[in-house]
Amino acid sequence: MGEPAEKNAPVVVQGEIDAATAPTLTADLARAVSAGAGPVEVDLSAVTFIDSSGLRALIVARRDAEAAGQTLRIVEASDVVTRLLDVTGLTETLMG
Amino acid sequence: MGAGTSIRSILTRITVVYLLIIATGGLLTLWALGANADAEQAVRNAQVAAVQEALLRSSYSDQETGQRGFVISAEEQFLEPYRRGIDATTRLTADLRVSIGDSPELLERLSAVTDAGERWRTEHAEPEIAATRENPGSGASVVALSGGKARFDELRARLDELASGIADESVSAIDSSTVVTNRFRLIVAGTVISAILATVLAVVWVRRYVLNPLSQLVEAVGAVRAEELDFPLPLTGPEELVAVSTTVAAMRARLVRMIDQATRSRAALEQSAIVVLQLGAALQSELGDSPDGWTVAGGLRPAEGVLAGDCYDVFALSDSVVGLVVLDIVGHGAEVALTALKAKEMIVGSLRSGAEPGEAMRILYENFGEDRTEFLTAIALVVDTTSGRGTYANAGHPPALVFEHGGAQHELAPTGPLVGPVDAEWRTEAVTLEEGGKLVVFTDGVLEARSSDNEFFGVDRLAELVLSMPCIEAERVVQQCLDTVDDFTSRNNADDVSIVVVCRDCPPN
Repeated sequence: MGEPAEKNAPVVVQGEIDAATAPTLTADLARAVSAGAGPVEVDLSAVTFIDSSGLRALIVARRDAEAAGQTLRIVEASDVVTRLLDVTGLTETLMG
Repeated sequence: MGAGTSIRSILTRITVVYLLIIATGGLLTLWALGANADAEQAVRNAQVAAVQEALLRSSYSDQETGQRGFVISAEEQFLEPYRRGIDATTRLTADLRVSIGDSPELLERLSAVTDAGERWRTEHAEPEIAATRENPGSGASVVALSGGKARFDELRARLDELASGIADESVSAIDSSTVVTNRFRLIVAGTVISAILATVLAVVWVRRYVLNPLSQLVEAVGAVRAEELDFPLPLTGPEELVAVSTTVAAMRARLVRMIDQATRSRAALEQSAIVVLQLGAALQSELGDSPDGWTVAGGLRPAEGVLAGDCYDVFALSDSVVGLVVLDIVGHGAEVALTALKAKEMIVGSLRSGAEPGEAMRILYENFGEDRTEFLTAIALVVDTTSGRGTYANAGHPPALVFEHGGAQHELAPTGPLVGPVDAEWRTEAVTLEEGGKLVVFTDGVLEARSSDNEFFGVDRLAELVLSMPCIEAERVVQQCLDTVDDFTSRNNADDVSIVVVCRDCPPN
């Protein structure tokens, strides 16, 4: 799953994000936000599956980042992530 | 012994009794064996003393015979038995003194014999031997003068007394041995009888104070197991069994409480189940009679048997206008289902009040709640069944599929984002369902249904399946789709699966 990176380095996520793995992603992104090292960038180019649980994890992380005065955005996305963001209308919200 | 006595105490007491019996019997046996050995030794000593006394008597006779022979014949060779007799007498007297050393009376008699023999030898035998050597051939007169016979008779009398004493001692030793043997038999018999009595007593004790209470406890525990929860538990017997009985009583009390709690929980659950069943039914509404020339059907398979987060409804807005709502909220369970139901009713209410589908989504967004991390996707559609024309809004929901009679298909793409996190507007788009056309609305559970080979069901498989069923009623399409998805996942759906199908009858040939 994701691993908090060095300063300004993106959080790289790979594999499947579903109900089983979403809590881990939520925790990893929360650590990245609480590190307070600047904008949190998330690389989802290696994600092979994402469902509504994964989408919710990203929405929660973005809300927490805004509450902490930071920004969180997806900088790279695989086809499955892109398609889900397009369908749900969250592309601008999470990648803008 | 009785109530309150522990099994350990009972066993200790029984062990002590056995040890006392064994120790007493053993000590008495050792004493008897020692006494028997002493008695047998006394018998043997008496027998040896009798033999030694006979030999002593013989040694004195040899002395007298040799002395008389020398006096009569004056030949030195006749003194040889006399001298051997003296040596033998000395040795035998010493041996005999040892053999009868335990009897002062016999020692006294032996001393009398020795004294008598000494007097005969010093007062008569030696003087006569000396006189004979001085006057050879005067033996008869010497013998007559000496009076030695009288002295020797006295010696014989003392020997007789000693022999009589030794015989008495032998008889006494034999009697003592017999008494000791009888005592030994009594000791053995007494020990065996005591052991038997102790065993009987131990059996009675164990039966009365251990086995009987244990049987009562086993019966009581069996009764508890058979749910006879008012069966009296025994509180008598050894401490250990009373402790077990007390513990069982506590367990039974706890069991009663748990049963009572379970009964109350079951009653509560039954009440909750009614609510859940009613809620589940509300999520997949009864679609009622379809308008002429149309069939409408829907189906929902909750993920892994839980209450779904999917929800759909089809309803009449007028005689010819039908509304359709399908939505999907993240998660499952009663709380999510209630939220879905509330959201559905909000959309339905908006459409019934004349709002367009896009406006209905906005109204839903404005009333969805403060938590902007929760969201749902939805499709709302309104269609005039006389013309087949209608409008729809798609809030981040998987695009519905529209199949024309000829096989062409297109999607009802999103007209706005999902409802919840984003403050947005939702467009209302037009849609037309021609004769022979089908509208298939579904949730992402259909697309994400996964086979054992980790393959997704996907939209293409769904489209192919619907196209393979032209000009049939919506109910059959829904059922076939749900069954196919179930087969594909081996009935192990990770997400809710919902499908609503609207079919417009095919045109006449």
